[in-house]
Order: sequence, then structure tokens, then C-alpha cells
Amino acid sequence: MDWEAIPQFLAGGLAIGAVYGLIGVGFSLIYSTSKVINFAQGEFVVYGGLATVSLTLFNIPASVALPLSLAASLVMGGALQGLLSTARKGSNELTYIMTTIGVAIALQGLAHQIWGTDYKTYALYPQGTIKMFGASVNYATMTILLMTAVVCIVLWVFLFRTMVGKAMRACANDSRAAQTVGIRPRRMVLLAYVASAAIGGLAGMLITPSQMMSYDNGVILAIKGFTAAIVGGLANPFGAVVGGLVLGLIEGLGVGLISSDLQNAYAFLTLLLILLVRPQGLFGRAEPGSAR
Amino acid sequence: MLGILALFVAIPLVSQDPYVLGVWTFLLLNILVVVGLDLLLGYAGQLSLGHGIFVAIGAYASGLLTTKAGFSGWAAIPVGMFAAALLAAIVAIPTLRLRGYYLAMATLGFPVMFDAVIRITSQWSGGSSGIISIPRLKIGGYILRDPLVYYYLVLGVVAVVLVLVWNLANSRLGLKLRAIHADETAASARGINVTLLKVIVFVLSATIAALSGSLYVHNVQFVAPDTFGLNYSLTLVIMLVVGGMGRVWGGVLGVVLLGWMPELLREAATWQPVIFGSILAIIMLFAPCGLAGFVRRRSFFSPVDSGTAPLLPTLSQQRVLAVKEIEKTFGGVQAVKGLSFDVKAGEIKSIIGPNGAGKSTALALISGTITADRGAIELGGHSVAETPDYLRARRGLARTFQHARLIPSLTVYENMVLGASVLGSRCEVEASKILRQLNLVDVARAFPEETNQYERRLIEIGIALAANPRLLLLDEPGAGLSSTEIEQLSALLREQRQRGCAIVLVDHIMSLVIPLSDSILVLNSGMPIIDGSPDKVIADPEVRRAYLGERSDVHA
Amino acid sequence: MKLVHYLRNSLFAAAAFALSALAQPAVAQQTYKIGAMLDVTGGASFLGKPEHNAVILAVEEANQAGGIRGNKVELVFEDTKSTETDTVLAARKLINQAKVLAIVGPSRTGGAMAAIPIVTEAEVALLCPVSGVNVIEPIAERKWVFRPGQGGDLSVAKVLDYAKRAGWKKLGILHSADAYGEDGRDNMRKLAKGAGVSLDREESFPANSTDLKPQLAKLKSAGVDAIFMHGLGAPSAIVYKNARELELATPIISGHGQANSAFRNAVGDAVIGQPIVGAPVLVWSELPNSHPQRKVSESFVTKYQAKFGTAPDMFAGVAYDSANMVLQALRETNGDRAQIRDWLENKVKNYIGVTGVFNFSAQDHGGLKSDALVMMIADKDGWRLADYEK
Repeated sequence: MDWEAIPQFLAGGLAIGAVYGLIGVGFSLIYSTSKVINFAQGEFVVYGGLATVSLTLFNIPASVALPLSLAASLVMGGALQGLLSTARKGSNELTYIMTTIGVAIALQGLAHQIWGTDYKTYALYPQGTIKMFGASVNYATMTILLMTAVVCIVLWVFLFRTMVGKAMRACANDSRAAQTVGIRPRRMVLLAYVASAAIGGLAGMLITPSQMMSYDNGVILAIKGFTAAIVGGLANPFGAVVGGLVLGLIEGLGVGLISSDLQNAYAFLTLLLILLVRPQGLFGRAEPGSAR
Repeated sequence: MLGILALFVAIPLVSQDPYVLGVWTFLLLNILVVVGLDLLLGYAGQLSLGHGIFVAIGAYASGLLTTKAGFSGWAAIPVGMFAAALLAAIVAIPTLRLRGYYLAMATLGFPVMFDAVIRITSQWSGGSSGIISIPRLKIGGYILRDPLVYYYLVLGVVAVVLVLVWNLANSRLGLKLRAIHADETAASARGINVTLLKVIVFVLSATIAALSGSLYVHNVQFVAPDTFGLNYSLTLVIMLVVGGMGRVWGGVLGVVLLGWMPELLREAATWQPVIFGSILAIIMLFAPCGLAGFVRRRSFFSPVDSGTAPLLPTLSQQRVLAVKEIEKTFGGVQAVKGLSFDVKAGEIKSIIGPNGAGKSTALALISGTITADRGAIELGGHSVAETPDYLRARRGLARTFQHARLIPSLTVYENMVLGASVLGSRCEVEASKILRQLNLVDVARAFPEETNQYERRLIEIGIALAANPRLLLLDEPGAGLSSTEIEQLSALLREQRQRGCAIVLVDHIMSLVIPLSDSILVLNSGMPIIDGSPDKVIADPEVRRAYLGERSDVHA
Repeated sequence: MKLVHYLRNSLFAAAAFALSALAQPAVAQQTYKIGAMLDVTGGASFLGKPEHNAVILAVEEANQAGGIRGNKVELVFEDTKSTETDTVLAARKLINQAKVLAIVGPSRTGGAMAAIPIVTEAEVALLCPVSGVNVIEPIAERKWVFRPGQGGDLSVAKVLDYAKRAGWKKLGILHSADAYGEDGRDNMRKLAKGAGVSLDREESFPANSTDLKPQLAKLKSAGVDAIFMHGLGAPSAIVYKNARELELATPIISGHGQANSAFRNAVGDAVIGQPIVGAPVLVWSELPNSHPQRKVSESFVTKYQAKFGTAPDMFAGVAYDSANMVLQALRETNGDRAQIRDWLENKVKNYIGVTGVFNFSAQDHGGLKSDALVMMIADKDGWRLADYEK
């Protein structure tokens, strides 16, 4: 048992966990406002990262490339919501899931066309590490954790302190009741998609400099992202962040202490466990009306 | 269906090229899996995004047993199918109790778990490199290598399975599965054991998938953990969804069309995912029922001759329902408290009260949709407090819902057959009888969306009556009806009373309630105010007060 | 109702017959068809794409020189998408649909293992630019399989020799969780003791790992003198960056899976100073003129660079050699599958390829010795020949 290395495993786990959490927030926002599981969430991350790489290749400095990329993410999110809104009336949840799967596949294929198959990266973080509690923490990790905290704070302020945010929460709670006070669910849903795309794109931008990004990363990131959301409780974006951190820690400790071979399996084991033991997640409420 | 099979038989007449036959064989194997998946997804409505694991189990069982344990190919196939069935049962039982997306999410992890298991056991499972040199199937000494022979072998298997599934899908079981897909609550209320059926269908589809996997490896002679991974699993669902779920032949169509796409798009191979994904998204947005959705489903159920007397000769004094001190609280709000009453055979009891009095809750407690926090409920002398709603339905309880819960994908007659399904093989006879009684024969083969409001209300009641219930629960059956229609409804209910059926009726419309009821129970804020004959109730001053002063809600 | 069903069945019929007809291969002219199946997409595309380019180059050269007996050579290519399953399908397609005379590929050991039964049954020669040992052993069951790639055992032997010279006694291995990685691990397990080195710790990583610090931390605490890295894909670049971040002093010596430009570009400065097993073609300018690979490498690299704009990788060289062997076999035989195989087995003697000097025989379908590999050290501009070789 490598006791000394445990802090390192934990640090690594927190770093990837934060990323899963950010992606999970996206799932959560969209699910809570529209009851749709957006399988294309991972593609927002991929495009965010790869688009930034492309911009930097044109000698655009990161300080300009990042906001530009973010803007592109916002547009992407809005476009997706627009596409989904053309669905015929009477489409059920399955239809939306399959549509987002189709979009995800198409986006991945498009990413392949645009950026090819090589892994890409760009420079963002300074070199070097800081020793903290027995672990070497690099700037990438610190930035990711910091930005995750920032996103959480911004999200909290938005959802609890602004009118628009409160409207969104109302819509998530009960969209018909919200309509009676003049809130337009369509707008809230659009907002949810745009915000999710932006947060996803941000996650992509943060991880590409340290982990590299390739066109096919979207699937596995999406799956882990919504495992994070489920662990936290699908309708609760902050729960998603916590869920992501928990997932990351499980992965980090699992790889470190048990076996590195099974890295992806830990996420799914966690998912299965949560679904069996506490399907509403750590912070969710049990579905009302489930008699069994 | 036979037409489709005939076409497949004829394919080799067009081309004997071994490569083309190989592709068609591969498509047939996919059809096998997809058809099984259709039962699960199209009929029962459960989305399995990791179905490839069952194909992989069959493939690996065959591969390992024939290369490492000296099994003959034929002997290994049932082992694989059994293993897949076992895994499906283990997974299904806990997860299918949940509603919504949860099965989909749980199944998404299957490919990864399978890959991990294979790699952990790589010593004898072949690890990530897979199993090579899997022997072909043999009959006696003859090795099944010729692509044409194998094509026909696979076609034979597919034909048998297709016919079986087709028959299943168009039987009463098919109706039940469609009901589960559309509305699990309604299905339960009609006496369908939703969880059990979901598990059965899951296991069945897994078994068929394993069969396909075994046939695959004896042809390609190779399998690796990634052969039937996430991409394959997603492709199966896509083919099914694009072709059309819930039609059996829809899956066949989807496989044929999308299976040949990679061949036709060879030049633009890297654009394939974009095209594939776009097709899926577009079809889902504009034709959510898939391509098969453009063809109206032909129903195999038609009204039959009926004629005999009603089923249940109940004694007129027998107590059918006994409710004792039931209570139910919802998150701090006490919906029902201290409620007790009896209903005898051939008695019509109405429950009335102002809005929010707890009437619908009471009905839901009796029907079993929700469970009481305290108290006892007896149906025909047996306690049902712990029994789920579908079992109560089988004990003779039938109910209608406030908003008619007809299964939209079933015809009117099929809906009634579903309602009568608790009666077993008599169900069609009884359903046909009620259909005629309610004068609904003209719309028997129509779908609910093609009927009008009043017809739908009648159908909803008809579904409940078709079960020949001992106790009938009606939730606001009079809402929105004209006075003539209310008369007709009253006549119908009196007939049922004649038959010996006990009726509990919740409504606001006094012109229905007062003349019809033998007794009326008035609730206010979850508690009973009075339980007695209509005259007594009308005269009671507390009742008047409960309804906002002296004015009582008398329908003109 | 009946009409609709009739229409539906007709739709099926039309679809079925049209599709069958479309998939018929076109009427063949008299060309010699060579097949190539390589991973140009997926995780191993960094191998497959240069290999594909190299094969294109070889066939083009042959056609520009007038073809073979006046007939053109046609390259039929299938993408194996970095999976075993697609490799098997590609092999069947090339053999049954295009009816090629020989096949170059696939790009990975795992794919090669999967394709072996197929080419054996169909009796078509397969030339694999891979390094797995099991690809050509046991030789009795590999009659139709040749492996012009430097074997994993040769690579490991080189590493062990370097380790001995450097005085390393305890090694750890970090390998990818696939057939290539497991081959390296198995070779190391087999050969370490004979070289006086002990394999103290084994760690692995799946293809989509993004953080290998846990594995490195565990190797570090096992106290090994050096880490042998044997894997494919992006994680191998991340390993070096992680090592920097952990301030790991333990040297990381890499197998030839990293001797390619995709890796070198991705890893940046983090790999400088570390030894990597490579091939002469990568450091050809440092080879003496008398070196058997010097002239052919220079010619190949120049032509490749002119046509494709980048320098070729090590396995591109192997693919080039493979294609040229097949072309030579076509020139010296009647262009029949069995004859091509026999030519390869019997006539490839002291054959000077870009990769090395080949000698195939009935017992040896690998044909190379350890001089087909060189130890390189990563430097600022790429790599250079290690002093160990000089």
C-alpha cells in the first residue's frame, strides 16, 4: 500500500473530478429545465478545446482566443436548443435523447473533418508545480479547481440573486406554474443550453493545455460528466460539481490503490452503485409518486 | 412478414459474391439483435444503450468454449444464451424498478465493464487482443464455411425468431408491452405486472442477442472486447429508431438501410459519422416514430362474437370493500385522515366534497396507486394494504382516471382487450360485449386520437367494465358531459349494479350523484363529514357549510 | 391497407436488390491489385497515416517506372480504424471483394493477430508492419504471415542492453492496456532475467488516460532504476509531462512506439534527454556512408518529404519496405498469391530495405536482427543517435 502516494492520487482525482463536475453542471442545467439528457454535452468540451487550439495557431494570443472560443460555445449551445425546438409536438424523452445522440455523432464526425485525428494542445499554463500536502500540484490543476469554484460562485449568484436566475429555478421546479407568472419556459431552456455549452466549452479550454484534446474525446467525457450529475442528483447543478469531485476521487484512488487498468470501470461502477442504492443522487429528492 | 422473409431468401439469386453474402449475413445477425431490442425498446419502451454486451456474451461464450474447452459450436450456443439471460435478469431486477432514463444510464456502462472484466481475466479470456481462430460450425464432418450455406443457416434462425417475435408482438403480450411503454400507471391499474414483464422482455432480448453473437463468431472466427462495444450498441439503437420502433419490420428496415450505408459511402468514409448522426437527428425531429411510423399499424384484434351471461354471481349483501381509518400525508399536508367506510356488492357509493377534500387521494389509496400511511383496506375480505395496484386489479378492482388514460398506440378495441386481460382467455369475449353495449363498434379499430371526447370517456369506462370488476372506481366520470350523456352514463352504471358490481364514484355533478347513489360520503379537508343516503346528505347542514354556506352545488 | 403493405414490401425489394447490385465489384481490368489495411483513423492513426503514405509512394514509383510487365499496379486500401474488428472486416473485404494478391498491414499487433486466421484460410500473404512476437510464432501456423517490422523482442533486447551499459538493475514497466503494450510487457518478463535485470513493478494505462501521475508515483515508490515505457497513444506523451511535474529523477526509456512525429510534437520539451528505441531511418543523416541503410533511407526520406511535406516515421519505412517487397515479388513471379508468398519466403535474402537488411526463411518470417534498431536520445529538434550506438 503506497501510503505516501495517496495525496498524489487525491490531488489528481480532484483535478479530473472538477472537470467532470463542470461537464455535469451542463447536464444538470439542461435536465432541470427541459428534462432532456443532452448527449452532445461532451462535444461542447471538445469544440471548446480544439477551437482554442486553432485560434492560437493563427497567432492569436490566449487572452483573446479564450473569450472568442467561449462566444463560439454560446452560439453552439443556442443552435442546439434551436434545433431541438423544431421537434414535432408529442415527441417524448426518448426522441430528444436520440436527437442529441445524433447531434453528438455528427459533431464528432465534423470535428474529425476539421481537426483530423491527432491530439492537439496549446500553451496556457506556466511550467512548474507546487508541493502541497505531500502532492505535486501543477498550475493546470490549480487553475481548473479555481475556475470550478468561480463557476460555482457565479452560478450561485445567478440562480439565487438575479431575477433571471430565479426565473430559471422556478421553471425547473414547475414549468407550468412558472408560466402563470409570466416566465417563458422556452427562454429558460435556451438559457440553460447556452450556459451549459459555455461551461462545457470552458472545461475544454482548461484541460486541453494539460491533457490534450482529440476529436473523439467527447463520448467518454460526456459519460463521466453525467455520472457526476447523477451522483450529485440530476436536477442540482451544485450537486453535479460535488458528484464530479467524488467521482474523480474514486477514480484517482482506484487507479492508485487498486489497479490502473480499470480506470474507466470505476466511473461505471459508481454509476451502477448510485442507481441501485440511491438513484436520486446525493442531493436529489426521491421522485414523488413512486410507490414501490 | 412472410413477404420480407421471402425477399431475403431470394437475395442470393441476385448475387453469389461471397463478400456481398457476407455483408447480408452480417445484416441478418444485426436484424436478430435489433428485433429482440425492439421488444424491449419499441414495445416495452425501455432504452438499453449497452445491448452489445449480450451479443458479446454469446460471442465470448462460443469463442471460449470452443477454443479452450473443446465444446462443439452447437453445444456452446445455449450456454451463451443462458449466460446472457442470467446477466440480464440480474441487472434488470434492480434497475427496471426505476422509471425514466435510469436503465439507459445503467446500460451505458456495460461496454466498459465488459472490457474491464475481459482484461482482468486476460489469462483465459484473451484480454484486449481477443480470441482468434474460433472454429466454424460443423454438421457431422461438414464444415460450414461456404458463405451461401452460412447465409441460409443464419436466415433460417432469423426466420424462426422473427416469426416468434412477430406472433408475440401481435398477441395480448404485445398489447401489454405497448401499454407499459405508453403509460405504466395505467398499465398497472389494468392488472399488468409491469416490473415482471419488463424483466421478461429484457431477458428475452438478451437471449436473442447472445444467439446472434454466437453465430457471428463462428463465421468471422474472431472476437475482441471492442467488437460489440459502445459504438455497436448505439448503432443498434439508431437502426431501430430510424427504421421504426414497435413494428418488428421497422427494425429490419433500419438495419438494411443503415447497414448498407458504410458500403455505399466508401468514398466519403470519413464523412460517415456526420451523415449518420445527421440522419438520426433529422428523423428524430421530424419522424419520431421512425420510417415505419408513416405506415399505419395493422391491428390483429377485432371484436368477436360474444353472448354469455355476466361472470360474477355475487351475493347482494357481500361486503366488497372495507376501508378502515386510512391516513395519508404528503410532505406536511394531511390529505386524508381517519377515513372509514364499507361498500357492498351492488351498492353505488359516491364520494363528494369541495376541492382539495381528498377525494382523488382516497380513490388512489383504494386503487393502490399510492399507499396509505396508516389504516387497512380490504378487498373482498382480503387485506390489500401492502398489495400493489396490479394485484388489486386482478382481485377484481377496476378504475377510471380523471383524464382518460387510453393507450394511444392501441386501437379502441385493443384498449378494451387490455382492460379485460385480467380475465385471461375470456378477455376478447368480454371486451367485445362491452364494446357493443357501449355502442362503440364503429370505432373499434380506430386509435384514441381519432375519437371524440365523449367516446374517449366511454372507452375509459368500457376498459374498466371489460374486466368484469367486483369493484369499480370512477374518477369524475361526469365531467364535461351533457345532460343526455349523463343520463346514458347513469343507465350504464345501474346495469352494472344489477350485475352485482360495487361502485365507488367521485364527482361534483349532483345530477349524476344524487339520483344514482345508494350512499354518499362527504369529505372535507381529508376527513369524513357524513356517510349516508342521498336525502340525508342533502339536508345535512354541515354539508352545506362545507360547500361555502347555504348554497349547494346543484346542477341545473 | 393491403396496398400499403404491398408498397412496403416493394420498398424492401427495391432496397435489397439495388444495394446488392451496387456492391458488386466493378469489372476488373488487367491490373495487379495490392491491398493495404492500415489504421488511418482512431487511436493508432499516428502510425497508420504515415504507413499509408509510404505504401502510396511505393506503388506510385512502380507505376511511374512503367508498372509491372506493362500493367498498372492498383492499391486497394481499407481503413482498419484502430480496432481488431474493423481489421477483420477489412481483411475479408480485400480478399473477397477486391481479390488482392497480397496485403500490407495492419498497423497494430492486435489487428495482425486477428487477421492471421483469415489470411491463412484464404491463402493470401500478409506483411505486417508491427512488432508483436506472436505474429510470426509459432512459425508452423504462420505460413502466410510476414513481419517486416522490428520485433518487440528485439526492441526489448536493445533496451536491456542499454540498461546493462547504464548500470540499471531494477526496472519498472509502464505499458498501454492493449495488445502492443502487453506484448512489450511479456517480452520484458521473458528477457529481463537473462540480462541480469529484475522487473520490479508493472503498471498500465488505458488508451484514454489523462493523468498518469498515480502510476508514476507507484513506480517511484518501488524504487526502480529506470522505467520502461511501452505504449501507444496520447498518454505516452502525457507520461513525460507528468514525470516533469512529479520531478521524477528516474529515467524513462521508451520502446519504439514513441519513435514518431505525432508523439514528438505532442510531448514537446518534456522528453528531452530521454532514450527512445528508434530506427536508422529517423537518424539517417548521422549514419556513416557505409551503413547499409544510409543510401536507401536518404532516398526514401527525400522522396517522402517532397510528396507529403513531412519526414516519414519509423513504421512508414516498414510499410515502404513491405510494399516494395510485394512489388518485387510481382516482378519476379506470375502474380499469383501462392507464388508471391513463396518468393517472399525464399527470395528475400540480404534484401536491403529502409528498415534493415532482411533475410526471410521458412523458419524466420521476421528477417531482421537487432541492428535494425538504434537507440536515440530526444533532443531539442527531435532526436539524435545515442552515443551508446557509436
